[in-house]
Amino acid sequence: MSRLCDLSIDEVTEGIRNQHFSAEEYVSQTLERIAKIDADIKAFVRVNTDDAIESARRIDNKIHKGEKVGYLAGITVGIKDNISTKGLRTTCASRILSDYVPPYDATVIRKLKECDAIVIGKLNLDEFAMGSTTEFSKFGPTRNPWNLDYVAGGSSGGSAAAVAAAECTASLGSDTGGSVRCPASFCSVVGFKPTYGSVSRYGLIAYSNSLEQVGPIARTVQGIIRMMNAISGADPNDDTARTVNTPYSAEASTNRLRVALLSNLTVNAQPEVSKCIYSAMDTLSSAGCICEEISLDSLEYALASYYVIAMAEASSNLARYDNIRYGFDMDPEGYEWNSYFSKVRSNFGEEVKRRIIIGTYVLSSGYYGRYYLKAQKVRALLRREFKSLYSKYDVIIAPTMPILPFRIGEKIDDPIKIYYVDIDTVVSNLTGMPAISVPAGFSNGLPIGLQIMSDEFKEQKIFDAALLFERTAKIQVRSPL
Amino acid sequence: MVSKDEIRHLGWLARIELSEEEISKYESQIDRIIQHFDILDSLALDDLEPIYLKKSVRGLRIDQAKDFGADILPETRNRKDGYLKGPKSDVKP
Repeated sequence: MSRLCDLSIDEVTEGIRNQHFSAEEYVSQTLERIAKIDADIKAFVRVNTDDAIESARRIDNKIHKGEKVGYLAGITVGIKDNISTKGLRTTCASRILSDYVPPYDATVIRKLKECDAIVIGKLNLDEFAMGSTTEFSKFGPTRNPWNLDYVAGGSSGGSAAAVAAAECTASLGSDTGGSVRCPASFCSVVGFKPTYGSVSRYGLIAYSNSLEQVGPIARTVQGIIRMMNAISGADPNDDTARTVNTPYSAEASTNRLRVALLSNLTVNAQPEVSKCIYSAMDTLSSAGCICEEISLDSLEYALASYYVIAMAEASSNLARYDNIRYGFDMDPEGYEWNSYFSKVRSNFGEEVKRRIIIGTYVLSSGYYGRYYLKAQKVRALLRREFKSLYSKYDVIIAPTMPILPFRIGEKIDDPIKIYYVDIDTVVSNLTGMPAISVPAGFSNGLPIGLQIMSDEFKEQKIFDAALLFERTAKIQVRSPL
Repeated sequence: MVSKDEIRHLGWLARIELSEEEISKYESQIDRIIQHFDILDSLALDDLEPIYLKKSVRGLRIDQAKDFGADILPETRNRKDGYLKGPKSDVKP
């Protein structure tokens, strides 16, 4: 029998419902595994041991009594530490929130709990989700389970590494410019950024409201579909969240999908990555898809547009951290408020400060029209062009990341180099459209991800294409450790 | 060019105290980043309206205070006489 920790969401829920093993047994094994390997990976910043065991016992009790259990009963879900969990410290990997204990659950957490999923712990990230490597965390970097000297990607690095290393059944991350898809690609797991408005953001600690979405990470596309069925939909606490057409189906459609490969993103990728993506296109062709290559010149402007908007929104969103309602131990006695706030806020990490400063610059009078307004216009242009492409194609494919995972520390001193790794992912955040990263292969033992994008609220088309690719390509899903 | 004085001023606007070392580091980095943003200037965008999040609003929830119980943020450190304590709000001379 395979190890319990390697089981998929469906195998776990069926195993527990049919009493092949108990929820408590499954959770205990998960906790043992975290204790055994997480000192090397550093995906978890907090393990929810007592609560998790108690929740498992509750599920087992219900089953013994013959009561109905939830859709995700007994699976262990790791949560990125920027998603609010009631009574469980939520720090955004920042000194500014080091003592913050949320008084409420994010809507996604409430929905997972209603499905009897178990919150197993909180996962590492770049501070306030700003970064692409999980190196900008007050807890230190998360390591890539495929090679511990390499970055796990980011900003949801803990969420991807924990799933890849089989430390939880699935996880939640957040994706502002690729923060779910990037680490999913680097760690060879599946990561999904839903359409803006598919999933409630209530309780996600905001960094760039118009771009970010909560998204799931799992080892299989089916796992992503199960998680999306649990967390999607309208929410009175988030006016941008909408009713969506769930449940999504995990039966791959038999329709012939029209697929376009974005050649300018693929050709400009590292040669190993480019080769792998072309071979993924061949795989999809062999599975019956109609594939074509296309090119889109306006993509050249996506990265600048993205960073202008993300930094502008960050400077506004993070203005609230004044150490009064939440924060760390620093007595305001004797300070005048400007000097107190300036002193307190110097405790933000390097990347967060950099983004707030630049965001303040691009929003300042005289520069607003030159940067922010233009960035919003580029966003409109990209949306128009992608809308038109989706009248001809069901899905568009490209690499998730333009390069292979790199060594920890290799790019940390050059912010521009780090920003450039987001070049293939930011466009879906700018347009608000959904995108997935699925494992597509390896080069020198390092994972490569295929990105599949589609029109807004067409998540099912992405799942159809991803299921087809997964079943045809058969990339290894077992944990490397 | 973004100067050291400008970085210092931006730090003040954002209420973030920056050390001289940070100002020097950010000066060169931020200047290079802003230069990358200048690519947006090269695109003719006059016929385009900027995109903003638009949504028709109906059925708003009632704006009502919700009682979270006696102690909503028990971990907050700076307290005095049952209140959260903040710095004095004197206007800076």
